[in-house]
Amino acid sequence: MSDALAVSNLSFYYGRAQVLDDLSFTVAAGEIVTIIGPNGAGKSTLLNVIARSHRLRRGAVAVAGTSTSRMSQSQVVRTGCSLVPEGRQVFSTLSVADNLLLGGYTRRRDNTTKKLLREVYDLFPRLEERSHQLAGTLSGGEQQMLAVGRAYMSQPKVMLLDEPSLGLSPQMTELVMKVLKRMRDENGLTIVLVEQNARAALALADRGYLLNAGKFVLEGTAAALRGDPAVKHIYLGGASSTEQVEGPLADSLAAELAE
Amino acid sequence: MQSVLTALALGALYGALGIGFVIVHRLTGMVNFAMGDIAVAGAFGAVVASSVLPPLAAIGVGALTGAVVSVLMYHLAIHPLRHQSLMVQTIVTLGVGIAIRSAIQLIFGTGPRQFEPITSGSSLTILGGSIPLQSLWLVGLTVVGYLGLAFFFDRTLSGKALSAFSVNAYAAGVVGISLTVMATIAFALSGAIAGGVLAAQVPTSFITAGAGLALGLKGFIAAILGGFEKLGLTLVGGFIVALVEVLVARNVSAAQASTIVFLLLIVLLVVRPQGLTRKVAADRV
Amino acid sequence: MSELRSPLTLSWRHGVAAAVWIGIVLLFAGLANAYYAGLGATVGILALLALGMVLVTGYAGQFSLAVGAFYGIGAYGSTLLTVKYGWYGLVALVLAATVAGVLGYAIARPLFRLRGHFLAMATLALTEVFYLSVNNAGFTGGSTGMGGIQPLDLFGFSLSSSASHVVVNWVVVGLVVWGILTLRKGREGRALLAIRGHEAAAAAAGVNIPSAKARVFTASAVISAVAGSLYAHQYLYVNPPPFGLQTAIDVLMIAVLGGMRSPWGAVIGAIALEVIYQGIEAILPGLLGTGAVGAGQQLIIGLLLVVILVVRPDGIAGALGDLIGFVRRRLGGDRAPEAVAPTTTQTSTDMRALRRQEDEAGPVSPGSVVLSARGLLKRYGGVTAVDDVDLDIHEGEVLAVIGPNGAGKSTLVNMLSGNTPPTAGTVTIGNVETTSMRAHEVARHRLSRTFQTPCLFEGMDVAATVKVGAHLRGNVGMLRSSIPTPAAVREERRLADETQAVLTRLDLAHLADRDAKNLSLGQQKIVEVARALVGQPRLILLDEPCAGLNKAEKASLMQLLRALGREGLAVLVIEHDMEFVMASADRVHVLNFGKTLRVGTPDEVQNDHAVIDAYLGVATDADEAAESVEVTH
Repeated sequence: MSDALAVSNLSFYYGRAQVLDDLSFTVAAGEIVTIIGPNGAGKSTLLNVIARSHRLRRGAVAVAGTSTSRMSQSQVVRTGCSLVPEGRQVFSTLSVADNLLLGGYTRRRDNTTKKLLREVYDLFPRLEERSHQLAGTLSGGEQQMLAVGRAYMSQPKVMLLDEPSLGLSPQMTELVMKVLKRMRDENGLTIVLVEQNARAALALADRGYLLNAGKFVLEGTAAALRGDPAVKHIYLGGASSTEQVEGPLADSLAAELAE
Repeated sequence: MQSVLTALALGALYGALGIGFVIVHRLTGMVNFAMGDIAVAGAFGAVVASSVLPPLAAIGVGALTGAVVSVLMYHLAIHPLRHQSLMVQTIVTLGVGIAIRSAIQLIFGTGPRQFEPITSGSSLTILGGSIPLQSLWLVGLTVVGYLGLAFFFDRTLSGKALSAFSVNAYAAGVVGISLTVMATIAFALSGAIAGGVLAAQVPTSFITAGAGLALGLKGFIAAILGGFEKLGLTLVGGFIVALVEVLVARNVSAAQASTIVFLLLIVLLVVRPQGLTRKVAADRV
Repeated sequence: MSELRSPLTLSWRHGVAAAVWIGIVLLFAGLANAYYAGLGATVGILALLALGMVLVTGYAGQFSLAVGAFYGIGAYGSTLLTVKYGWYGLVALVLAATVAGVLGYAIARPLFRLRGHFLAMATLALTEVFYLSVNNAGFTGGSTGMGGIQPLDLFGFSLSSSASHVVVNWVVVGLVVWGILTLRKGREGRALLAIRGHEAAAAAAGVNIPSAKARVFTASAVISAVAGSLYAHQYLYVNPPPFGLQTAIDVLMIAVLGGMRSPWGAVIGAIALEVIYQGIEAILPGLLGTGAVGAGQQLIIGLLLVVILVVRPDGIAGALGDLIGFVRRRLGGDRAPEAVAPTTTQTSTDMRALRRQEDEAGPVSPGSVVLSARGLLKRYGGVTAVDDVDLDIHEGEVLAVIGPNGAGKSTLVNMLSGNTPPTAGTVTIGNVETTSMRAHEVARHRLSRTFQTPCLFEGMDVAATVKVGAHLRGNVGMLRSSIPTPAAVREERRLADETQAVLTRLDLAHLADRDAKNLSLGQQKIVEVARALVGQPRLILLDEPCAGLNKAEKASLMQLLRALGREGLAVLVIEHDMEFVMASADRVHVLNFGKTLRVGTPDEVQNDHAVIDAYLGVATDADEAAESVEVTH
C-alpha cells in the first residue's frame, strides 16, 4: 500500500532566501511523525507548502498515492490533507459551531456533517459546551481544540499540525497530545506534527525528523531522538563550554561548519 | 414628516449602495469606486427590460445587470491585480467606473430615462406627509434585500464562508474556501442589491448616465456610518445621509445640499471614521 | 573601492541639463503654430498637476485626489484678486499659492490620519465640494464663471502669445522636476520614500511621519495652485468644470500612464495623455459620429486606465526604466550581477573560540543604566503578551532576550522603542521617561532598532536605505533640500561620509548601489543593522538579526556586537540561535509566557532547569519524562 504522505525533493524560497532545501520524506498510514527543530528552521513553511498555503514550485507531494503537486489549496483539503495552522487561526467572530461547520466546507455535499460534528464533540466535550460561544472568547487551549476539530471536520487522511503546544500550559498540551493519539488509534489518522516542544512531540510520535536551517539533520525513531544530545545542542546552543558535541549529528555539524 | 418620508426612500437607496460597498470591503478590504456606476448600469438594464417586461420583472433584470457588471469587473480588472497593493486596485475601480459611465452615455445619451411604476395610483398619505407608492416598493425591496443578505450571512454555509474569509483569509484558505469563488459571490451580491434598488427608484424620478459618482459618494457615507462592517447600521446611515440632504434642501438651498453632505463626509472621516460602530474600519486598511 | 559619493552635488552637468531643457522649450515655442503652442502650454499645466501628485502619491505613497481643489484655488484666487481687486498678476499668483499652501497644511494633519481608500474618498469629496461651491457661489460667477483676466505681466513683458505660455509653463515644469529630483536625493526625500516603503521602519529611524506628510501635501498644494494661476492667465476665463473630478481623473491617468515614482513620469504621462486625446479626436468621429466624442474619450481613458494597470502598473516611465536598464546591462556587460564581497580573512566560525578571542581584545565594562523598564505589561484582548517585566540595559553591555516562540520578546522590544504603547509600566531612557512617546520621538533619545522581518524600502539602493537611519543626524528641510542650498549639499556630504563609514565597517560597501530588496535575507538583515548604527545611537535593539545569516555572517555579527559593547554602546538582541546568543551576550534575559523566567550569565541560563524545560518542553507522560532526563543531564 502507498504512503499516506510522500514528499520528494521539496525546496522553497522566500524571495531569494532558501528556506527549505531538497526535503524528502514519507509517512505511512496511521503513523505519527514529528518534525522538530528550533525556530526559523523552516518547519512551518514545510507544512504550509504541503497544504498549499504557500505555492509549491520545486518538488512533489502526494497524499495517499494521489499527487497534489498541481492542486489548489481547496483541492488538497478535499484530497484528504488538512492543516491545523500555527497560532490556531480560528474564525474569532464566528461561533464555535460555525467554525466547525466551515471546517467541513469542502465536504458540504457529502451529508456527513452531523456525524463528524458528533465525533468532534466526543473528542472535545468542551467544544460542545461552548458551541454557541464566539471562538475569539475561548481560552488558548480551547481554541487549539477548535482548530484541531475544524481540521477533523474535513475528514482528512493526513492531519498536519503546526505547533499545537504554542502558548499552552503543560496540562493543556498533554490533553491535546492525548486526543491526537486517540484520533490515530481509533480512526487510523496519519499525523505530521511540527513542534518546538520536542519532548512532548517525541513522547507522542513514532518517528521524528530534526530540521535545522531547511535541512533534515537527523532522523530516527522517537525513542532514539529522545536520547540524542544533538537535539539539545540544536535548541540551546553549545551547552557548557567543556563538552563537545557527540552523537549521530556530529558528522553533519562538522560538514556544516566546513562550509 | 414629509422630509422623513422623502428621506426614507432616498435613504433606502443610499443604504443599499452602502451595503454594496460593505459586502465587497468586508471580503477584500478594498473600496469599490465604481459602485455608483454599477448601480446606474443596473438601472439602465431595468430601463431596457421595461419595454418588454412588467416593472417588477424589469427591476429584477436591473439587479441581475448590476450583478453581472460587478462580477465582470472583478474577473477582468481586479482579479488580475490581486497581488498588487490596494491602492492599485482602488485606482482600477475608478477606471472601471469611468468606463461604465461613458459606455452608458454612448449607448443611451445624457438624457434622463424612466419607466412605469409597479403599482399605479396616487401617493399614500401618512401623518400629513405623502409618499409615492413606488417609493414604498423601493423601501420594501431594500428591506427584503437586507433581510435576505442577513439570512445568507447568518444561516447559510456559503454566507458563513464569506464571513470567515473576511475574518481570517489565511484560515479560510486552510479549510479550503477559495478566494475567487467568494469574491464572485460578494461582487454579485453587491452589484445586485445596488442595481436592483436603484432600478426601483427610476419610476419615481429618473436616471441619467452621470448619476453614479454622486450616488456612490453618498452610499460611501452610509457605509462609513455603518463602520464598513454592519449591514443594518449602513441602512440607518443611508437614512441619516438622506435626511440631512432633504433638510438642507428644504431649509437652506437645494443647490447646497450636496456640498453640505460631502463636507459632512470629510468631517465624518476625520472625526469619527468608525461611524456608528465602535471599531475603526479605516485602521484596517 | 570607490568612495560613496554624495548624490546631491552641483556640477556642470546641471547647467548643461538646464540649457538643454530651455533649448528644447524655446525650439518648440518658436516652431509650433499657435494651435500646437496652445496645446503645449496646456500639457505643461497638466504636467505640473501631475508633479504635485508624484510628490504625494508617488513619493510618500498617499493616494490623494485633492488636486482639483487646489488647482481651482489657484485659478479662482488669481482671477478674483486681479479682476475684482486689481492686484498685480504675479503678486496674486503668490498669494493664491500661499492660501492653497496654508489651507493644505491646515487640513493635512487631520486628513492624513486616514489611509488608503478612505484618504482617496475624503480628498475626492474635497475636490467635489470645491467644485460645487464655486458652481453655486455668486461671487465666483456660478456655473458661467468669470472672464476679464489679463495676461500675466512679467516685469513689463505681457505673456499673451501661446508661445510665451509654452516658455513660462515649461520653465516652471523644469524647475519643479528639478526640485523633485533633487528632493529625492536628499534627506527629506529619502524620508518620504521610507514612509511609502514602511511606516514603522521610517518612524524608528526618527522620521516624524505626520509632519512629513503634511509638508509634502502642502508642497503639492502650492504646485497645483501655481498651475491654476497659470491656467487662468492663459485662458483668461475660468469656470467650474476644469476644477472638478474630471481633472483629478486626468491627473491620475497621467500618473498611471507615466508612472508615479519619478517626476519624469508626470512629464511623459502628460504628453502621452494629450497624444491619446488628439488621436481619439481624430479617429472617433469617423467611427461613432461627432456627438460621441466626449463619452467615447472617457470610455477609452477608463479602459486604458484598467488595461495599463493590469499590464504595466508602473506605467511608461517604468517600462522605459527597464529598457534603459536592459540597454545599460548590455553595454556595461558585467556590472550588475556579480558584486563580489571582499574575501574575509576570517577562518574560524567557532563561536566560543571567537568569543574568547574577543574577550582578549579588551574587557567590556558595563557602565551606567541607559534604558530601564519597570513593570511593563501588554494585553491584547484577553491575552497578556508581556506580563510585568523589569529590565535594565547598561552602557557597554550586550543583553540577549530569549524565550520560546510566543514568549513576548518582540512585543517587549516594540514597547521599548515606542512602536507599541504598553498597557502598564514605564520605560526610561537616560533620565527621560519615554513610555508614552511615539517611535520617532523615542528615536531622538538615541535608540535605534531593527525588525524581525527586514523592513526595507521599495526601490531604494543600499546606501540610501542606510542613510534613512541618519535622518536625525541632519536637519535640512524639504525646501532647502530640493533647491539645494550649499548648507544642504554640505550636510548631505557629511551624511554620505557617515554612511560610507558604517557600510565599510559592516562589509556592505560593495553593495551600496544595489536595490536593498534584491539582496539575500542575510544581507538585508545586515543592511538593517547598518541603518540602525548610522544614527549613532547609544542603545540599539536587534530583533532576531541572525535569521537568514550563514555561519560566517553570524560570526562576524557576533564580533560586531562585542565591538559595539567595547565602544560603550548598549546592545539588546532578541535571538533564537542559541550558539550566537551564548557567545555574544554578557547577560541573558529569559522570557516565558510573557514573564521573566530567569536573568543571568549565559552559563547560568544554559544550565538552568526551568530554562531547559521552557525550551524543550515538558514531556507529557511521567515515564517518558524519566527517559528524557538524560537529555537534560
